[in-house]
Amino acid sequence: MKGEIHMDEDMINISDEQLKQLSAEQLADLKVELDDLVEKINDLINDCDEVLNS
Amino acid sequence: MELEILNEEYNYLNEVLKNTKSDVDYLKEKLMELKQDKIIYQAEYIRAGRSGDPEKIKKAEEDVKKVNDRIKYMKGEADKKLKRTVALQHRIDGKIDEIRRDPEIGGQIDIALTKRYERGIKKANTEKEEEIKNKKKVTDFKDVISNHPSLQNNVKGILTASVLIKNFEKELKSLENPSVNGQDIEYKDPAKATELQTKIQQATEKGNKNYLIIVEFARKNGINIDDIISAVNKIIENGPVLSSKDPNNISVDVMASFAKSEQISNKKIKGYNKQIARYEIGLNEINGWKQNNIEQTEEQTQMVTAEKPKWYQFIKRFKIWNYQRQQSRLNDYEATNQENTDNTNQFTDSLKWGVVRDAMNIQQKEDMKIANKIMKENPEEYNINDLGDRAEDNEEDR
Repeated sequence: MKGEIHMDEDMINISDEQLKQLSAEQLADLKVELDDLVEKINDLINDCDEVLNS
Repeated sequence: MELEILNEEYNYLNEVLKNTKSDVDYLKEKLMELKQDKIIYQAEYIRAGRSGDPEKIKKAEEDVKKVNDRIKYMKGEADKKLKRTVALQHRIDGKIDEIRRDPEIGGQIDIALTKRYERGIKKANTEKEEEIKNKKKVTDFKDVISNHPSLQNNVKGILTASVLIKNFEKELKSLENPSVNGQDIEYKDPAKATELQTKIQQATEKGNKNYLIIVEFARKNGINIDDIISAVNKIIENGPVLSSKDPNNISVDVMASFAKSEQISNKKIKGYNKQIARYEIGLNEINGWKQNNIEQTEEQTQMVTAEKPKWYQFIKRFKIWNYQRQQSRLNDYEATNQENTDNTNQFTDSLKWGVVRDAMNIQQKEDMKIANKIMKENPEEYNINDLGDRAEDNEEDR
C-alpha cells in the first residue's frame, strides 16, 4: 500500500515448527524474494547516505 | 509459484515480503522527492548567502536540515526493515541447508532454486535490454534538443504541464469525499474542484500543443516520432527536475531532467547486472554443492579401494577367488559333458573327475606359489610383518 509505511514487529512472527511446513518450492520462492529484497533495502540505505552527504 | 496448495505459513510470509517491498518502494519514491527538495534548498541557501540576508540564510539552513532529518528518519526505518528481513533470510537459508543434507529430498530444493534463478536471469536480461533501449532514446533526443533551443522550450512546456497536472490531480484527490458504491465522486469543495479540473484541462492542452510542434519537427527531420514520445514519457515517469518549489512558479530544468532520467536508467541497469550476477552466483553455488557431493562420494570410493590389503586379507581374497574359479571350471566341465553323461560309465566318469580335481589342485599350488612370491617381493605393500590380527583372521576363516 502506498502512502503509508507498515508498522513492523522487531521479528517476523513465525516459529521453526511453522517453517517446517514450507515445501521446497515455497522455500525456493521465499529465498529468491528475500535475497532480492535485502539487496533492495541495502540500495535504499546507500541512496539515503548519498543524498545526506550531497 | 508452482500450482500447489498454498499453506498459511507461506501466505503469511509472502504477505510480509509484499508489504516490506511496497514500503521500500514508497521510501524510495519519498527519497527522490527529498533529494529534489535538497537540491532546491541548497540552491536557495547559496542565493541567500549572496544576498547577505541573515533571515533568508537561516531559513534556507533550516530547510536543508529538515530534509536531512527526514532522510535520517527514513534511513532508520530502512535499517529496521533490513534487520528483520535479514533475520528471516538467515532462517530460510538455514532451513534450505537442512533440507539439502537430506539425501531423499535434498535434490528438490536445488531443482526449485535452479528453475527460479534461470527464470530470473532471463527476466532481468529482458528488462535490462529494454532499459538500455529507453535510455538510448533519451540520450538521442537530448542530443537533438541541445542543438535546438526552441525545441528545448517545447520540451520544457510538456514537462512543466506534466508537473502541473500531477500537482492539480493530487489536490483534486484530496478534495474527494469517501466514495459511496456506484455513485459519482463528490468533492468537499465543488467550486475548488471545478477550478482544478479547468486547470488540468488547460495544462493538458498546453502540453499537447508542444507535443504537436515536436512531432512536426521530427517528421520534417526524419526522426522516429515514437522514439521521441517514448523519451519524453520516460523523463516524465522519472520526474522532471524543478528549479523552484514555488507552486505559483513551476520551473523545469530541461537538461537536468534528461540527465536525471539517464542517471536513473544507469542505476536500473546496474541493478539488473547485480541481480543477474547474484543469480549466477546462486547457480554456481548449487553446481558447486552438487560437484562437492560427487567428489565426496568419489573420494570415499577411492579411500576404500586405495586401502592396502594386509597379507592375510590377500590370502583370504585369493582363496575366495580360487574357489570361485574352481567352481566355474567344474561348471564348464559339467556343461560340456552333460549330453554324454548317459552313455558314459561311472568308472570312466570317476576317473575324469579325479583327473580334473588333480589338475586343479596342481594349478592351485602353482597359484599359491605365485601369490607368495608377489607378497615376498612387496612385503610393505601387503603388511606381511603385521601378524597382530592373524589369530582374528584365522578365526574369521573358520
